[in-house]
Amino acid sequence: MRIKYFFFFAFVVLLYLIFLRVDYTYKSPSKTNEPNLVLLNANIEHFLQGELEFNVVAKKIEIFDKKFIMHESTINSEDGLIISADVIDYYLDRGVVYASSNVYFKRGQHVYSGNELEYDMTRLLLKTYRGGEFVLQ
Amino acid sequence: MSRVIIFVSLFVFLVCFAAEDNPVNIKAERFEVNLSTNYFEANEKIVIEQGKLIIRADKANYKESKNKINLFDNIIADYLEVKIYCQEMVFDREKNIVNAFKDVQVIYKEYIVYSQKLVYYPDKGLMIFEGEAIVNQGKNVLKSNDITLDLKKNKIYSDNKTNFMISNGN
Repeated sequence: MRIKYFFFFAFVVLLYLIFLRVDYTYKSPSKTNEPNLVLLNANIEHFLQGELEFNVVAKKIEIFDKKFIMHESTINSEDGLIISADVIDYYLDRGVVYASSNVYFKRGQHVYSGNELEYDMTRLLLKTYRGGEFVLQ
Repeated sequence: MSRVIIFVSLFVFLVCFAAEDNPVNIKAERFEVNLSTNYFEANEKIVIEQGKLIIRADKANYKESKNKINLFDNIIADYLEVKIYCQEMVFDREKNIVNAFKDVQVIYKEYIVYSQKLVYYPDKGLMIFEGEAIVNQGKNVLKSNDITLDLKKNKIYSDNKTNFMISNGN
């Protein structure tokens, strides 16, 4: 009878160890629900939202109610902004871009390459995370 | 004809020289950049490279209009054979001058210099230690105010009263 409790205890310990190994440091906001529309090999020449205007080239764009998720994509705007990354989330309500994995950012003479960035397109504020490199002219 | 060729060559050389930029590479774990004011902040594991100058620090900021990089905490700067340790540093990109503050320690060949403020001109090979400085060169210890170390001539100057000691090695 006691062996049953031992197995139960071992099972709980095993669950706990598995739980410890799960990495929760980065949760992609990309996979929360189903998109309203999916565009493949997309080339949006004039994305207009208020004063913001940019072009998007992407292998895949998932369109949700409040955000776009662009895979293997590049954003260009007329003021010389270029953002490319494996995944770019664009939040329509805030005008904020989250880019992750193989990120390249260029605006004016300043070039950044790294792993993760957040760019507020209206306030022109850039934050980067998880290492990267800036080249200042 | 030869004058024209010389003039054209000189002009091309000057244009090429003027067009040569001196980019700075900054690596860090995190950046915060305001692109409307061109104000940069870098945090953690910072490595700044401009030409042969490499500076490591924990924190840095840079305002493009001033063209000076301010660095803080656990700074190590390398330029050829010179190594500078300190807690605060200002790197003037335009004039190519390094100002080091707080617990400055310089290691160059057999020299080890301790000071609270250093002005370093990498191009000229000049180090000006402001305030009290202690220079160790092997068994020799030199203590003075406002010491200038000329790396190219391998000489030390001071206009102030200087204490010079030869350590017995203890």
